[in-house]
Amino acid sequence: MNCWECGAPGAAMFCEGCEAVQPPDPRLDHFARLGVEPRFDQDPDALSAAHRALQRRVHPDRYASAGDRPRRFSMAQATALNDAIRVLRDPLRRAEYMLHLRGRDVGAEGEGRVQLSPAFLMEIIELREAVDELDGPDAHTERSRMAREVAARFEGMLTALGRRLDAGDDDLDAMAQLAAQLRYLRRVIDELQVDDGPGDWT
Amino acid sequence: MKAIGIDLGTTNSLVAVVQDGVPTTLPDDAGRVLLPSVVAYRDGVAVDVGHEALAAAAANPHDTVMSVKRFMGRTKAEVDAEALATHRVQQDGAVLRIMAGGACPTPVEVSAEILRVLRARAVHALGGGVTKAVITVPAYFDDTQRNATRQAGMLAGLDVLRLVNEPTAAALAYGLEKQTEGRFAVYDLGGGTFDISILHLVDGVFEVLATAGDTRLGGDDIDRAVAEAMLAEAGVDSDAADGALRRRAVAAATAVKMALTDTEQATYVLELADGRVFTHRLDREALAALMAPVLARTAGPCKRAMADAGLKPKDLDGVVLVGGSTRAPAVQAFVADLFGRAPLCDIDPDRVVALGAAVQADLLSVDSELRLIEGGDVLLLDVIPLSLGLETMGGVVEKVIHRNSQIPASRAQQFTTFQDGQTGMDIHVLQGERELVEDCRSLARFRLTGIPPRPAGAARVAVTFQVDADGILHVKAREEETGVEQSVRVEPSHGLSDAQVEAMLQASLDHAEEDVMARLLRTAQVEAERVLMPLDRALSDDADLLSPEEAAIIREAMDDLRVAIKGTDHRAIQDLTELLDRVSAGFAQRRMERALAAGLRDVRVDDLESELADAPVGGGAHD
Repeated sequence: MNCWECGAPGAAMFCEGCEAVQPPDPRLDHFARLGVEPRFDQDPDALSAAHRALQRRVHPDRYASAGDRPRRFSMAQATALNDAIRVLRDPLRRAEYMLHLRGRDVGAEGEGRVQLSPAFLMEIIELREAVDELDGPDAHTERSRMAREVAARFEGMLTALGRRLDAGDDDLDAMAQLAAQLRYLRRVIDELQVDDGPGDWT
Repeated sequence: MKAIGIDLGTTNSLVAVVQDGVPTTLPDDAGRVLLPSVVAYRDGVAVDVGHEALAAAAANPHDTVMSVKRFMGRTKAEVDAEALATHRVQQDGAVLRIMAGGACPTPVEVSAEILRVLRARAVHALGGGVTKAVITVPAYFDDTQRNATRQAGMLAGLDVLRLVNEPTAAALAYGLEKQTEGRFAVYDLGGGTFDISILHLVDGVFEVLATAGDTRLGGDDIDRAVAEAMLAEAGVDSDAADGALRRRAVAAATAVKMALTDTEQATYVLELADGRVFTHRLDREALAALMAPVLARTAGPCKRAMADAGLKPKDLDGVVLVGGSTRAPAVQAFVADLFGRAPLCDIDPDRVVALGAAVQADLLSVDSELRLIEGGDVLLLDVIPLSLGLETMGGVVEKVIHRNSQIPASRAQQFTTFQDGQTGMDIHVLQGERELVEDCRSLARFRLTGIPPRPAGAARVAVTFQVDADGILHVKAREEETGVEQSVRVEPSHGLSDAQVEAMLQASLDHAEEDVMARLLRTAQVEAERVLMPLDRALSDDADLLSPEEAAIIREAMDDLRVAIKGTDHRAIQDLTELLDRVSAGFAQRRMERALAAGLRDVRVDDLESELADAPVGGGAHD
């Protein structure tokens, strides 16, 4: 892009010539926007640090006394950065986003929709029945135990999916299936945790 | 030109400025930094602000306006709803007026009187030329209250650069003083509000991780609790106590509370309505017992904010105390117990907010001093306190931007039409944490028209929410095929009282499970209908594509699902919907192939696609 202010070519977030803030480049994906490697394996602290370092330069507070255009562009840049960190900070969202970049939308409707395997669905049905049948004084403990079990399974599957993504696995169908199952498991985990209420630190 | 920081408090207000790289509170001629937020009126005009007005308050209760912050951005109905409203008020159109001393100023005007005094103090100290200011507000102030505060600043001749949340300002002051990095909880018990914020300071950036609070809980509640106890002790029926006696009791309570910060026992004197003078002793332990119920109410928001930030107490590097009430040993003990660590209180809790406001004011000015100092150049990254969402089928709220999302933020959500040939779509914008529309606050409603008529589910509408750095929401709806567009600028929580914010949050906790269940059931029912409806037609149109066995399997699955829809088990509905979906997938595929082979003679591709598009309503843009 050419700088809107001085016309110099090749302006990124800022123009190299006049340092004017530029509108966000729509061609950048979230990884490129934060300047990190497009990998599943990410150091969360490094991701946050990248986000902070860029916000430090481009946040609207830095342009509180600037003109209308730089103020608007800084707002758009800050918004894009917040969106990027929101998606990349969460490992499942990050995995789904990587599949999206490779042309597979896990949340797609219509033809591209991911069909969950019948075996997985049966398993979930059975798990839910087991939760429903919980009763008696140990129900709460048992429920927490199941929540931990599902959470452990979630973590294991997510790690496996991440490895496949980073290894350049071509089986998009299988990985999309995994991601869809992970979504489902996360919902189950959320439901299992509803009972706990906001009371505990744990 | 210097930009100043102002803490416009319920009980006291202060002004501070960065001088030689150090934030400093500015005193009046008598060396006092606190300006009581009290304005006295006589013959229709404001005659005194601050200490003099406070001193005269007991003698002229009806001519004196106190705690005006509680009235900011409120209506008479909201004020009346609070049992302990201290002033007579009247509603004048959209404006609330306070009756005092022959005048009927608005809360904005009363606040402007306070701000004028503070501004004059700064002008005097700095030698003129003060117009720019940062003013602090409770984190949970809604848009109406924020706007009222901004208006008061303008009325006092100030250019308000930014409204900053009080706990954030406090953290800013601490961060600068300590020059340390880490995660901090800011426990802010002010006169009238309680806020808890979890912040992360690293690399010169203050990230607000989460915020929660209670806008009807503060030190005033403690004073009232103590006052009630005093009246009871004196044998006065609380309901029978008139306004003047009540004020004297509250004043005595405040005094005794402050005295007990430094001593183990204190004596109070209360002049009763009949002229008798009642004297009594109160010790720390008794005060702590009176404070306990008020403090207990702060635990919930603390835990909610910590959970939202994904932190446990051990992850914190410090707990910062803000607000005069946190001086009380009972408060410090409570916080130490709650967070498992002794709180930091080395900056005067009365001044810390104003000092932080001065820091932000400096950083937002052209000739900032702090930016030039090592470690002085910090940036605040703030969040929105309440979720923003849209109404979807079945009266369910689909959250678009979740509470505690960093701002500025923008999110798009895709929705599909529900009926064949639908050409309009109602966009209903809501705020709150509950799952159902009737439990959330309605912010705006508009209609997108000109959607091309298509089978249900085929037309797609993208709704975009954009929240800017000042927390103002813009909503845009766009039909993707034709590009038809409608947009509206929404003031988040406009007209929403802080009591409502609190009540809504509380309700979302009380009803969390019930809500989730109601939402899951409605969503499942709507989803099931979407799968069932087109299948009925398809079965009659293209029955020849199926063997009798295949048709029987599909019909059986449909019958099972229809039975389940009438029940309340959302899981059964979901599971059966998935099953029906699977058993009919081959059929849909064959219909699609037939239509393509037939050169689209009878059946429009749209029809078929809409059948295949049996995903949940509004399910387009899950993350």
